[in-house]
Amino acid sequence: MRWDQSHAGAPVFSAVVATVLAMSTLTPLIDSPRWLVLAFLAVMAVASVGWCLQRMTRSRWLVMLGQLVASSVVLGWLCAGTTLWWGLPTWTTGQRLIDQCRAAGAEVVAGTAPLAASPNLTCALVAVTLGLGIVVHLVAIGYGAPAATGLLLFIPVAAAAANTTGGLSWLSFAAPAGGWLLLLGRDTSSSLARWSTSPALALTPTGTPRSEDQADTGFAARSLSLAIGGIVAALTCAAIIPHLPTRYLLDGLAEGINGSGNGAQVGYSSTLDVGRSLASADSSEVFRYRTTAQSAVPLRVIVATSYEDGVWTRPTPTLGTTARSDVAASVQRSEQTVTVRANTLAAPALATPQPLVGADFKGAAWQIDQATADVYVETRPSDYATTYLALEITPALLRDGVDGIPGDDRLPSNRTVQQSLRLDLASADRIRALTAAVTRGTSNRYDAALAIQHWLRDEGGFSYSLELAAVIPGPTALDPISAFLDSRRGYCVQFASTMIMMARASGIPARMAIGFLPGIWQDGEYAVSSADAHSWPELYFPGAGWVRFEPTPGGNVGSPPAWSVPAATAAPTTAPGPSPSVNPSGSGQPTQPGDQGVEPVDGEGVTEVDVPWVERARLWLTDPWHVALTLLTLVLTGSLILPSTAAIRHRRGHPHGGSDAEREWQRLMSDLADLGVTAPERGTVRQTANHIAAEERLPETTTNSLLTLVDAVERDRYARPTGGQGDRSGELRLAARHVWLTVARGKTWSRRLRAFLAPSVGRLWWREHAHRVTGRGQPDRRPEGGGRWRR
Amino acid sequence: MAEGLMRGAIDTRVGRAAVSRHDADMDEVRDVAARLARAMETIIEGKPAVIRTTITALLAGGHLLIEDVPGVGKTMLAKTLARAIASAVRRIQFTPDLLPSDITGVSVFNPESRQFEFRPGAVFANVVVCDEINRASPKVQSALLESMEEGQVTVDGQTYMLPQPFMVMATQNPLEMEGTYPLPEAQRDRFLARISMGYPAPAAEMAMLDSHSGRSPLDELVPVTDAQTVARLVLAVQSVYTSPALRHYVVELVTASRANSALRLGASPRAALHVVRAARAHAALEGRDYALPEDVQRVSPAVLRHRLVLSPDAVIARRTTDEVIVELLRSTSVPAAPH
Repeated sequence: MRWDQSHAGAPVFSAVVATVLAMSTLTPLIDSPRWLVLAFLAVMAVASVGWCLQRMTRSRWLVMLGQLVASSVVLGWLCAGTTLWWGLPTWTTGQRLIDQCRAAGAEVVAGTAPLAASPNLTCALVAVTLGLGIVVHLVAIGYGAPAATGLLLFIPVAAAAANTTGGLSWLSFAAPAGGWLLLLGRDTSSSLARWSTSPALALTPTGTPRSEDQADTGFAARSLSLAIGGIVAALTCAAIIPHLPTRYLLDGLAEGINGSGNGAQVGYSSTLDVGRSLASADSSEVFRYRTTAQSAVPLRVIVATSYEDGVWTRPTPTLGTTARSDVAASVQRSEQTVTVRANTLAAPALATPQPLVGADFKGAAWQIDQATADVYVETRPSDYATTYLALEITPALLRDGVDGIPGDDRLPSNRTVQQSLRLDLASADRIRALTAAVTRGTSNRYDAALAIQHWLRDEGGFSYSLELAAVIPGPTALDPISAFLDSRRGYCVQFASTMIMMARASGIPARMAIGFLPGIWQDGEYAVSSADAHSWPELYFPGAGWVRFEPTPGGNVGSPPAWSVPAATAAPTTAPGPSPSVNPSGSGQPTQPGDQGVEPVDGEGVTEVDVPWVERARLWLTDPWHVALTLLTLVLTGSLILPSTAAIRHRRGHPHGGSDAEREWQRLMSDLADLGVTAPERGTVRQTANHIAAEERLPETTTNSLLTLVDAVERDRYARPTGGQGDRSGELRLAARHVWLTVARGKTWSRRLRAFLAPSVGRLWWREHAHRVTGRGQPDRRPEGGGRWRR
Repeated sequence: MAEGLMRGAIDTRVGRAAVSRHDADMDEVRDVAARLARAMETIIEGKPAVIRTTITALLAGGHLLIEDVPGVGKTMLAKTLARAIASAVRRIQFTPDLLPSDITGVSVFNPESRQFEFRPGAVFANVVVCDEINRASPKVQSALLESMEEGQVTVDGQTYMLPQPFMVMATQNPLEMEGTYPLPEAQRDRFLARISMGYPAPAAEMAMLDSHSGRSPLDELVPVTDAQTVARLVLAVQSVYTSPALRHYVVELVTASRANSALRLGASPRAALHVVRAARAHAALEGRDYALPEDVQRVSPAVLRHRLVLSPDAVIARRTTDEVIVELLRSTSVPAAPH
C-alpha cells in the first residue's frame, strides 16, 4: 500500500515543488513575483500538516480535511490578519477571504497581463495554489497516481499560455514538467525500493519469474520513460516549430465581459472618443473571411488623422476610384486575396486589407478615398473579394529607406502627412519630454518607433484594461492621453493614440487606423466578431508607406508585426556599436539593397573582438535556439558518460585479471544483461549459454558462436594452463559480437537504447566511486559467480 | 529429479566443439567407452545412464555398489561388464558361512615341494561380482573391503598384488533385511558410487523377454576390449587435469553437505576424492583432458548418495538423499575464475 511508504517525506515535498513550479508559469501575468514566495511558504506549511496527519491516520480524506483546515488558517494569517480570533479564522475571516477572491476575479476579468499584484489578487493566487497543492497531494500520494497529477499541473500552464501575448515561451513549460517528472521519479524509485525489500525467490535459477512487484517496477519505469519522452517531444516541438499566430485556449480572460449581443448591425462612427470606457463589448459576429496569405492581417475600416479634445476624426475624404500608393517599387511584394462573406458591417464602412490593389464588391457601388485608401460603399455587400499587397517590410528598409539613405527629408509634403505630424496641444509638452526620454540613444526613426512601442508594451508599466481609471478633476480632465499616462491603464485606443502622439513628437508621421483583428479560426476561415474591433497606429516610412505598429499589450489583441519586433541578436536599439556614424565609408558605397544585409554583419564582426568572451557567451546564450543547442550538446555529452565509462572499463579488463576469453565472456554477459537477458545465477558457463540459446531462440550459427566462446572460457578456467595457445582474441570477439547482435536484433529499440546509454558496467563503476567518495558503506556488489554466498 | 539435473547439466554439444583439439589418449578413452557401452546395451536394455555410471566407475578405478530389489539385473550388469572386457571374472555368492579365506585365498602345504603354496581366493580377478554382500559376516566383508582399498591381499605375512584393472561390483537387496549384516557407513564409503537399476521400461522389458528366453545372451557377447587396455585407460584417466577452481568447487560442495541441516552425516574427504576421480573419468568419457563443473555435477549424485545420512527431520519430511544433493548443487556457486 502506497499510503504506508509515503511516510517518507520526499514524495510530499516533491508534490509541493511540482505545484509551485506549475504555478510559477503564471508569474509573467502578474507584475511582481512576491505572491509566489508566499504561496510556496503556505503550500509548504499545509503539506507539512498533511505529512504529519498521514503518519497518524490512514484515511486520505481525513488528511485532506486537515489540510483544508490548515489552509484556511494560513490564508487567514496571510490575507485577513485583522479578523482572526487568537490566531484562528472566524466567520468574518471567511467572508473577507471570499470578498477578496471575488474582487480578484473582477480584476482578472477587467484587466490583462501583466496584472498589478494587489493584495486581493495575491490572496486569490495563494488560495488557488493551496487548492492545487491539496488536490495534487491527494492524487499523487493519497491515491498513489502521480502520473495523473500531470493534468492538474497543466491547468496553470494552460491559463498562462492563454493569457500571454504571443504565446508562452517554451522554456516556461519546462519548470512544471520538471516538477511532474520529480513526482513520477519519486514514485518509480519508491517502487524500486519496495521491490528490493521483497523476499528473494529461493532456488529458482532458471527462467525469470514475473512476480507482481517486478511487473509493477517495469510499469513505473516505463511510465517514467514515457513521461520524459513526452516532455522532450513537447519541448522539441515548441523549439522547432516556428511561431504560429496566437490561438487563445480560453479566449483570454479579459473577454469574459459579454454584452447583450442582440445581433444588431455593427457600425462605425467617423469619430473615436479616446476618453470613453469600453464597458460593453459585443461578441456578435461581424463577418467571416478567408485569405490566401500565410498569416492573416487585420482588416482596416477607417483611418483617422486629426485628434482634438480627446476625439479622433477622419479627414474629409477625397473620393475617387484609385488611391495613391506610397510603396516604392523595389519593395518585395506578393498579391494576396481576402474573401469576405456574411458581412454585417453597415454601409458606407467596409473592412479591407491594406494596401488595397483590387476589389470585387459584387455590384455594390463604391468609392475610395484617394489619400487613405478607405473604401466607401453605398449599400452593404454581403460578400466581396479584395486583393492587397503583402509587402515584405524589413527592418533594414524601415531604418535606411528604400535606397539606403535615411529619408529624413523625403517626407511627401501632402496634406495627409502634414496632418499626421500635428501634436495634441493639451499634452504636447508632456509627450515631447516623454518621447525624448524614451527614444534616447536611437539614431533613426525606425529605432525610435521601436523604442516607443517597446516602452508602451513592456517597459512603461502599462496594463490593459477595458475600464479606464476615473477621470481625476484637474488640468488633465479633458486630456485622455495625459490621463492615460497617469493611470497607465487603458485599451487599444489609448495605447494607439499615445504611440501616435509620441511618434509624431519624434518626427514620424502617424495616424490612427481602426478595424478588425483576424478573429477566431473556424472551419477554414476567420470569424470576426465585434469583440475583435481594434485600433492601431500607422506610421509613415518613406518607401514603405504607412506601416502598422502594435503598442497594445495583452493576450487578446494583435501580436506585433514582424518588422516591429527587434531581432534578439541584432538588437539595434541597445547596441551602440554599429551605427552609420561609426562606419562612414558605408555612405559612399554604391547603395544596393543586397549590400545592406552584409554591412551590419561586418560591423558586428569588428566590434565582437572587443567584447570579452564571457560577455559574448552570455550574448550568444540569449537566443533560445542557442540555449537549446547548448542543452542538447550537454545532454548528448552527459548521456555518453556511462557508455564511455563502460568502454574504458572493458578495455582495462576484468578485475579478476582473466584472459581474452574470460574478458569477452564477462563483457558479453554484462551486455546481454543490459538487454534484459538473464541467466540462472549459480549455473556453469555452459548452462548459462544453453539457457540463453534456448530463451532467445538463437539460430544454429549463433549458438555455435556462443559455444565457441564457452569452450574457450572453459579451457581458460579449467584446462591445464599451457604456454603457447595462440591469440584467439579476435575470433572470440567476433563470436561474442555475433551473439550480441543476434540477441539485440530481437529486442525493442528502446531496450537497445537503454542498454547503450546506461550499461551496467558503467553504472557499477560510478556507484562504486560514489560510495568511495561518500564513504557510505560498501556498494552492494553482486558476486560474478565466484563469491561465497550462502543462504 | 537427480536424473533430470544430470541430463540437463551435460550437453552433448560439449564434445563436438572440444574433440578436435585433444590428445589421442582421451580419444581412445572415449572410443573404448563408447564400444563398451554399445556392447553392454545389447544385454542391459534401456539403461544407458546406469551403464554410463558403471563405465565411469570402471575408468575411475573405483568400485560399484548396486542396490536394488531382486531380479532387475544387478548380477547381469556385473557379468555383462566383465564379459565385455574379456577379463577374469569371479562371482561370489555371499552367505553367512562364507569365510575370509574364501575371498582372499589360503596358503596350503604342498607335501611334494614341502612348502606352503598360496591358493588365490575369489578376489583375484579383474571384475569381482559380490552377490548380496550384506549376507556375509562383517569379518568377511572387511576382508573384501581391505583388498578393495589396498588393491592387494596379505596372507600369512605375504602380500599379493591384485590384477589390474580391479573392480568390485557388490549387490545388495534393500528389502530382505532379516539375518543380514548391513554395511556400516565407513565401509560403504569405500565404494566409489552406488547405483540402482530400477525397473526397465515396458518396451525394454518386452525386448528382454524375447532375447533372454532362450539361451543366455551373454554367450553371444563378443568382448570389445581387454583388461590391459582398460588398465592403461585407467592410468590415462588419472592424468585428466582438475583446475584449482574445480577443486575449490568440490570442496565447497562437500563442505556445504556437512553444514546442511537435512543431513546427519555429510560427505567425507574420501567422498571429495571420489568425486574428483569420478569427474576425471567422466571428462575422459567426453574426450576432454580437463574436468568441468558439469562433470562434478553429473557424477555427484551417484558418488554421494550412499555416503550421506539424512537427519531424522528430513526422514520424517520424506526427503530423499538425491533431493538434498540436487539442492546442494544448486546452492553452491560455480567458481568463475581461478582463486
